[in-house]
Formats: sequence, C-alpha cells, structure tokens
Amino acid sequence: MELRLILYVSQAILGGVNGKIPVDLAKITHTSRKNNREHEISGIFTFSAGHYLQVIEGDPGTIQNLYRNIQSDNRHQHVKTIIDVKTKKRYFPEWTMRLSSSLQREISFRNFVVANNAYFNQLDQTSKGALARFYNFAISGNLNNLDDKSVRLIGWPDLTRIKASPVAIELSAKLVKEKEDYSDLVGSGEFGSRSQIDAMLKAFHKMGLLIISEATGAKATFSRPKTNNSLYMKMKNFLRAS
Amino acid sequence: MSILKLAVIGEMGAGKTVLISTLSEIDTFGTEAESSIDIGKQYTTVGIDYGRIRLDDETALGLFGVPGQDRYSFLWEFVKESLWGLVMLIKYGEEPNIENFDKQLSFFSPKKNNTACLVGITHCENASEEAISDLSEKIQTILHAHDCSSPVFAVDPRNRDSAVVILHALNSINRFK
Repeated sequence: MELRLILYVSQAILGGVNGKIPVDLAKITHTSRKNNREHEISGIFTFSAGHYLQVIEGDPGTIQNLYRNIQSDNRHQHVKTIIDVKTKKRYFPEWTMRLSSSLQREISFRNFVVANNAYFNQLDQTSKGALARFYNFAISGNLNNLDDKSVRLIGWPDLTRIKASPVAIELSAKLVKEKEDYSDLVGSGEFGSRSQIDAMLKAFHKMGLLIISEATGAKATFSRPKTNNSLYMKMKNFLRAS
Repeated sequence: MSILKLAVIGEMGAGKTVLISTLSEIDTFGTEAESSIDIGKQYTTVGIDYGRIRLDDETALGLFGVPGQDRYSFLWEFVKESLWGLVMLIKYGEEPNIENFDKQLSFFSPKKNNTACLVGITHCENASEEAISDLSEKIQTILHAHDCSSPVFAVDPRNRDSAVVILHALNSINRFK
C-alpha cells in the first residue's frame, strides 16, 4: 500500500505568562491523537524555539486533508513543507502522534533521517535552517578511542524510563552543564572506573544524547570539594548515611 | 544554624506533604483542610508544609511544601529567595495543567535565578512506561520553552529511596551549576 509522508515546520502562537509556551499545546496533541488513531495516521510532533515540526504519514488522501486543515489552522503560522514523499513503509508506526521534547533523543526520528538522507541532503539552505532548530545533523560520534575527545550531553536522560545510579546522575549533571575532556573524567576518579564511565557514555550515546568533539586540552573544570565543610560534601555525607 | 531551603511545589494531591514527611527527620508541620473536590484523600494542604533535615551542627535543609495553584502565590513569595533546590511535583493520571506549570516556572525562573530544579511525576504505580514517558515529554517541552534543562523523575513520595534520589540529583546539579 502506498503511503504519503509530509514533514513540515510552522511558527507557533505563543502564550502563557511570558509568552514562551505554545497556545493550546495540550489540546492540539490530545485532538490529533484521537483523530489520527481513527484515520490511521502516525508521526511525530515537537516544539522548539517558538516553532513546531511535525511528520505525518498515512493514506495519501487522508494526509492531503489533514495537511490542508493544518495549513488553515490559525495556531500554525507560516507553514513550510520540508519533505513530501510517497513511501511504502511507516517510520513511526507505533505513534498516533507523539509529542517529543527532543528529536535528537528519538531513535525512530534518527532512523528516519538516515533512511532519507538523500532528501535531507538536497534541501535548500532555508529548509536546512528551519530544521536546525529541531535537529543537529552534525552530531556524530564514534565511541572508540575517546582519549582525545571531549563529551557533552544535549539534555538529561529520560529518568522516568531508567533507574540511574547516583554516579550516573552526577555525571549527567556535569555533562548537561558543560563539555569535559574524556581523559579528565577518567582521571578524576569521581565517576567510577574507565569501564564504568564507558558504560554510562555508551548508554547516553544510545539515547542520542551524547555529543563527541575534539578534546579541549583545558584543565578539568571540576574538582571534588576538598573539605567536609562544603555544602556539597555535607549533603553527600548525609546521603551516604541515609 | 544556617538553614537552606528546598521548596516542593505541586497541585492538590501531588504528594508534597508525603514527600516532606518521608524526607524530614522532625515531625512535619502542616496546615491541612478538608478538600472540596475529590483528590483521592480527605485533607489537602492549604498553607505550607514544613520539615527539616539536619546536615551537621551548623547546617540544616528546611523542606517547604507549597500549593501549586497560583492563588497561593503569596506563599511562593515566602520560599522564593535563596533556594537550594526546587522540586515541582506533577501527578500522573490527569492532563497536566500546562498553564499553571508555566506560571510556576515563570515565578521561580530557575534558569534566571540559577536554581537547581527538577520535576517529579507521582502516582505512577499503575501507569505504563510509555504513558509516563509521554507525560515526561510534555513536561520537558515546557521546561525547554523556559530554557530549563532539568531532569524529570518518576517519584514515589512514600518511598524513602525514591525520595532520596531527589536530594542526590539536586546536590549534583548544585555542584556543577
């Protein structure tokens, strides 16, 4: 069966106290889930920096009608079609419309990008710029031989899905805040052995969170507070005894 | 003795009182009244819950639970200054009140004030992993809109191990902020 897939971006109407959050976000996701289930439409939906990105896939006629509705919906301004293709398979078969806070973390979206690399490569600069709000195509990384690399996280792991150890939480807090040379992480001894650090970084990598770049060579930006008088150590001691 | 402040904010029935009671080493002090709506329990906090953890002879962490509804924002004022940490509790099972969450984030401005902050999803016992993750994504979307990179945990406020993870996380965030 032939399907149609459309990826578009649009400008959201912002509201809330300081005009930061998209108006009707809960209603949009709730309604689209309900309608998409009925019409066998799947896809993914995300919001970033005042804009939406959505992928919709399903029966060509149904997608045509849905996209027309989106284009005339006041909550979507300046709707721009990025990709509009015929396809034989669904890339997001399990989701009637998942709201994702980060496409980078979504394995299905990453697979979608890889499978459609040719389309993404031939996009004009305007389209590439529009996509850059949502997805960093440059993030790559080889976990082999990190000795001359630095690492950073684009965001926290989904801690509702995994039970992270205190060390993994501490490493996450560190790498969400700033990048660090791998050799300094290992040398500090604060985040476990090299193999333990490797295992955590591998897990982050699998979640699409890890950014690997050339080592800075700068001195480590952290060190364990030396005395028990620091607040950090007082709390640490309390937690150890808990 | 210097007393640091941890604020726990959440709507009715989110688990503030229980979380503070689980963490506190003193009997907690709360101001409860009979709930006018069905929140799965008879009483709800209308003022501030207070508990405390002593870290050593000189330092303690005060645990302040405040209602999440913005009509109680005068109580938010009371705990706003010099926070060591901010815990925002959201109850699973109801559509999250995005407007209210936005008001809380705008008021406490964790990014601007450099406050260690995290979100705890409670009442997850009977929820599927996917359903909790969906809620987490909604919460993260609003956090990102406020330029906050804060972790979202599934928390059982009745369980000490689960509650202590919150302190671990806030201590780590504070260390590197």
